[in-house]
Amino acid sequence: MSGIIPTDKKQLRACMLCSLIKKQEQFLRSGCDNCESLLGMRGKMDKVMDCTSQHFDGAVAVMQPSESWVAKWQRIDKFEKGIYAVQVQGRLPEDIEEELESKGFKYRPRDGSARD
Amino acid sequence: MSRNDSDHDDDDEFESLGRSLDNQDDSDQEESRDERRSSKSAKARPNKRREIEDDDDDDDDEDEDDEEEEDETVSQRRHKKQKHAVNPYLDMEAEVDDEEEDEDEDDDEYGAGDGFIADEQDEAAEATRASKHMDLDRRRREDEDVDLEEQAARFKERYGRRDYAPRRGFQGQQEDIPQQLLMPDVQSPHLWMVRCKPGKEKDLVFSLMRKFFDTEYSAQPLEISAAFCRESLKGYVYIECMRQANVQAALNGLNNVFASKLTLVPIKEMTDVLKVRHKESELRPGTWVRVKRGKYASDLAQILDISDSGDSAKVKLIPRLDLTPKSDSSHLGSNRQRKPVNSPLAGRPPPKLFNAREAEKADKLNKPISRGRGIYMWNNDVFREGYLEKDMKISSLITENINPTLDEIQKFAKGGVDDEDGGLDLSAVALSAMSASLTSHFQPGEKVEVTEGELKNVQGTVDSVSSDMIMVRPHAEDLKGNILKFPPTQLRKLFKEGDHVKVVNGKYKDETGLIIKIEDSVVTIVTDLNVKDIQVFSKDLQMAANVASGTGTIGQFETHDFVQLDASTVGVIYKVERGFARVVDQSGMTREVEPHLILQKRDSSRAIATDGEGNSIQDGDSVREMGGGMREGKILHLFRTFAFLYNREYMENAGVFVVSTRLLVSMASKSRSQPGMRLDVMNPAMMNMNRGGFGDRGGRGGRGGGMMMGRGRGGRDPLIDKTVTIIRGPHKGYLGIVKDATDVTARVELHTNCRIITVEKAKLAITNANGTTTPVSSMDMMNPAESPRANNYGGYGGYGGMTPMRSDNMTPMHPSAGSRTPAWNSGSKTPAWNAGSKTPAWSASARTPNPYADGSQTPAWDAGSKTPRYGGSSAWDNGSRTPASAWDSGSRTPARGSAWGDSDSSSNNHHSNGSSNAWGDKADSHSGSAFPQTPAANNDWMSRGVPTPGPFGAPSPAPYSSYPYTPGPSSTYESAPTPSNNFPSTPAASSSLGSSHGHGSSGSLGSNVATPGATPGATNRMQSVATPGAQLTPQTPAGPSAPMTPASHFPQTPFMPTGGDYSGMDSHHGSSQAPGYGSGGGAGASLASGPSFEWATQDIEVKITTGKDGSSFEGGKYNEQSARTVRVPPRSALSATAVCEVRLLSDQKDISIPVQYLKRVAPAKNDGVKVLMGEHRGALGTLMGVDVQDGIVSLRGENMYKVLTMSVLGKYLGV
Repeated sequence: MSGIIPTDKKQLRACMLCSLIKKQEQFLRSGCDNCESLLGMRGKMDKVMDCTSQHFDGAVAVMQPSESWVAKWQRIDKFEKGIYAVQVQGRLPEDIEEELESKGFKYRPRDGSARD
Repeated sequence: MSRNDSDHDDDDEFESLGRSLDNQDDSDQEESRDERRSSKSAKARPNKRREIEDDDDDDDDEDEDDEEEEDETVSQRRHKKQKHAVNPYLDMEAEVDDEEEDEDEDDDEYGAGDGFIADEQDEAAEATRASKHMDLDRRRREDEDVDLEEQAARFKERYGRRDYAPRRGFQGQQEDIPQQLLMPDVQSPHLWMVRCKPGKEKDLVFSLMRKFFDTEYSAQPLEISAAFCRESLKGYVYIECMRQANVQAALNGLNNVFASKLTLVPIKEMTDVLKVRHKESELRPGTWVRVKRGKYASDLAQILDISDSGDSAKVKLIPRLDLTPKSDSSHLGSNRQRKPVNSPLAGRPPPKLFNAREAEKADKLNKPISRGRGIYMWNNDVFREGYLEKDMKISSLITENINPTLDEIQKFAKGGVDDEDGGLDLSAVALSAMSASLTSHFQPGEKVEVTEGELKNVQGTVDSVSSDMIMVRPHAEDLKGNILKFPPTQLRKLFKEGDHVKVVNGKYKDETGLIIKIEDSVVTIVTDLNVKDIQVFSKDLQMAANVASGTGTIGQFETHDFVQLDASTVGVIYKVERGFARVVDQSGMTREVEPHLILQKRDSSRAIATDGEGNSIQDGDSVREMGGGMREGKILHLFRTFAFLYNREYMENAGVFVVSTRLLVSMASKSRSQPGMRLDVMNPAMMNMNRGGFGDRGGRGGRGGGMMMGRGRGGRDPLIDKTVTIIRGPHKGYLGIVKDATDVTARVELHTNCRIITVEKAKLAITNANGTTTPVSSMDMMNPAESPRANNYGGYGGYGGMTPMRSDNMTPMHPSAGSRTPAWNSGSKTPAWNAGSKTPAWSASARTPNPYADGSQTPAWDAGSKTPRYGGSSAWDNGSRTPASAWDSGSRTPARGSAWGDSDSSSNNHHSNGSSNAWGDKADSHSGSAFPQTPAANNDWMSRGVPTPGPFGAPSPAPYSSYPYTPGPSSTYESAPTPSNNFPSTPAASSSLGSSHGHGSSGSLGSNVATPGATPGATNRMQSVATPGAQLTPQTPAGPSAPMTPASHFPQTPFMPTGGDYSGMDSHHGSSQAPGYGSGGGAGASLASGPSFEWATQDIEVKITTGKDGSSFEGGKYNEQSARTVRVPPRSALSATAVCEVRLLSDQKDISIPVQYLKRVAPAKNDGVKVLMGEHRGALGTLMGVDVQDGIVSLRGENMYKVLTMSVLGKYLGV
């Protein structure tokens, strides 16, 4: 379970899809716990670099996603327990975005540019 | 079972699951419910499936199926799964066939939005599957002992965790919930704000998360739902939970948190804490940034492209390439220049656009590779149009407060993102530059325009300015009355064409001008000052009524200052610009000079020049050019024959121009008298005249004359440029050249290490061309009493234009030094002097003591005094008088002693012994002029007193030779003080041994001989004894004093060469004097005898010469023969008449000869030597080298070299 927690503060990256924060090597080893099915980062360094960003703001430790207002507000209440960024800079590469689009997902950037 | 198989099994299991779903099988009810809940969107289905499959890789499942049962569908499934599983152990060939199909299927799945497995299957498969389902169902039912519920639970456990988040997380529906609906309400957990140590926020959040996982299944799990921190909220951590107690429980045991301070965040403010401020992707292509670190630190760069992840960017830089050619050996790798240096800023190459040809030249092994037009690859870098394109991490770029100057930006003007336009798009530049603008750029009352946001293009007037916001009163009718707040970045200043503005920032700061063109934020201005078009950002402008007059100052310099640019160039600043001054130099050339390159500001206010008509002109005068341009102007400055004029009517160089003074005519008529005086001062020719005249006048007094020149301009110390040896102090022995000299010190550039040190002149000895040295006495030696005056005069007479000081120093040495240094001679003396005074005199005198006293001396003095300068000068008389009086009275008084510098004990002795009678006599014998001439005599005496050391210690064999020969007291006299000293050094002297001898006697004999009756002791003896040697021995009454004297003399010797240690000499003399006095008349003799022969020892080479008194051994038949001492009487018995046995080197004949006829032969380099005196007396060694007066001796049995005075070394002939 604790594989989702970064072991230290170095080389942290945040998933640009779900804002999960992990170490780069963790992303590489096990992908994003939430988005692996969509992004398939596991074992693919270039994907990791493309889909995660080292520029993010804040850290939210989500213990009980379903109960937490913070998680709800951050739209991470359906995700794994773990540490998420409040804001992630950068967007998914366009091709990945298109791919998501084609799968019916509307990519909602985590960089604050999304408007409701 | 292979890995593959196990996967397969999982698949089967999954299949069974799917089947059960399809069939709405009861046994799978729970599972299927779960499934369906989670798969509200069909898409979720495949997602889930893949998730499961992925996981399956790791699990070796317990379920097993027969491989045979597998149908095609299943295998399809498996392939699909394998594809996602990325199992390195998979046999890739196995799935190749199906790959395409797989993908199609994928597309189907997503495209159709249908996740159900059953739907995916084609009809054909359906049939086969049905049968398989039956099979599986059967098996399941057979599996009776497995409780369905349990089974469901098992599945749930296995897959439950990752079931749902992905699927639900990416369901479209939630994206549609507007954030407003997510606002917290009373049912939401509370948010607590906890203070913590700044910088530890993230660690705390991580710790809480870890703690949560650790305690998740414990008895007391953390009952908090979330915890977070923000970068922008330093020192706070927020914890979300229902009760405050939970927070405390959670924080219990954590470090760096101040749990005592809990603040509940009001519901209304909760969203603020998590507000995401969207930064309008602050970095865009075209944005200016600066590099934080490395070779390009703080260099401006332009972003060309930003990577998708947003953490790196391709930037355009002006390359800093090391284009110094590399030698092949040093070229270790293509990346060498990129290697970080210790301090990358130190000595980094200047920014310069890349040039392929230069690069090629710099690095022959590694030529730039062309990649299309203007694009090169070199050393792994890409250069486009000369610029370096480089991928850099955004974290290594400074992105805020860049404030690029227009200057910097213009360097990017070529090529780049806007190169289609053929130039830099200034408005784009402005846009990025604008973002850096500050509120301080705005002032109330300025007209502004909004550049961003809803109110874009709204115009208004700045009402007030706060620290980060600007209140704007809009002009638009419908907004009237409102005051709107804007950040400075959203505003730009609004100007109209024709506005008169002042530049408040940047390169053109303080320029004023009229706006002639406005393009967005870039404003073109015609400046008031030089009517030039400049482009500035509107943010840097301010409305201004006044007209700038230019700053006028830069550093300490201002317009029209007269400055020195380098040793030969001066100029006048005619315009001061930002960072540099424009200067017109004396040749009329203009240049831009940075203030630090200006050596100094010069003052020409006292300078005077003559114009073309001979009138004097000076600063401030109005002049007109003769002929040619007929330009008029006011003289700003004068420099030699150049006048810097100013006329503001001329546009060129702001009205400053240079004209030769000879081409000018003064426009004001002026009296000529006043400048006349000054012109003299100015005129170097006059100086020369003065100098010359000075010499003629001779007696005018060194000081007085010197004053005219000052010490500075005219009077160059003759010591300058002389090669000198330092003879005392820590630098003793060093050779150098005098670079500069003051009264008492000289700055000597050492040969050895080019260092310039300041040394007292007293510690210097001039090294002459022939290798001898002349100590430079210091002033204070001369100062006492009047004698120096005489010297001055003498000196002046001799030197003509030389500085008094020099003459002071030198005069005493005339007799000695004069003859030595050719330069000296020529400079200081008239040939007459030389010739007249010495050569003939000495040689003549040499033979007979008596005649010598008269003959030899007289001419010398006479000659000296009669040289036109001496004779003619009135000064001479003065001078002569003074010493004379000093002499008379002082000779006996202590004052005198001191005045003449220690003027030898001998001299004193002499006088005391010989008494004034002697002198009187001498005076007579000397034709009466002796005394009036005393200055010369004086000099002579001085020379004894002062320079003696030089001659004394002088290594030239001559002095030594004189010793052995001088039989009696006379020898002492002479050897120590007077001519003998001189002679040794004079080339002539050595040859004219006799002269020295004679001269020696001059002193002593003068006293002794001339006054026979007066002095009972020495004189008598001298007189009576025709052959001094014989006489003296008996005479030396002071047997006891003899041992002393040597001490007094010889220990000195080492000092004497060093020339400076007069005090030492004094004391020595004093000491020797004392016994001298004590022993009465014999003192002189005693003094003499001791030192003279102490050197005599066995097995050294000697030369047979005439004795001191001029007598020769056996008629001189052995004269000039070399011999080896065979037997020498014991030291105590050594006297002039002591008989030594020597063996002639020529015919090996042994002869017995009084020691007085022997002269020691100085050893040459590499000769064997015997130490004749001092603590090493008797020691044998080898002379390794000669350094002036010192010999470097390697003593036998000692490992070190000894530096011994040459005078204590004898040439050893033994083995």
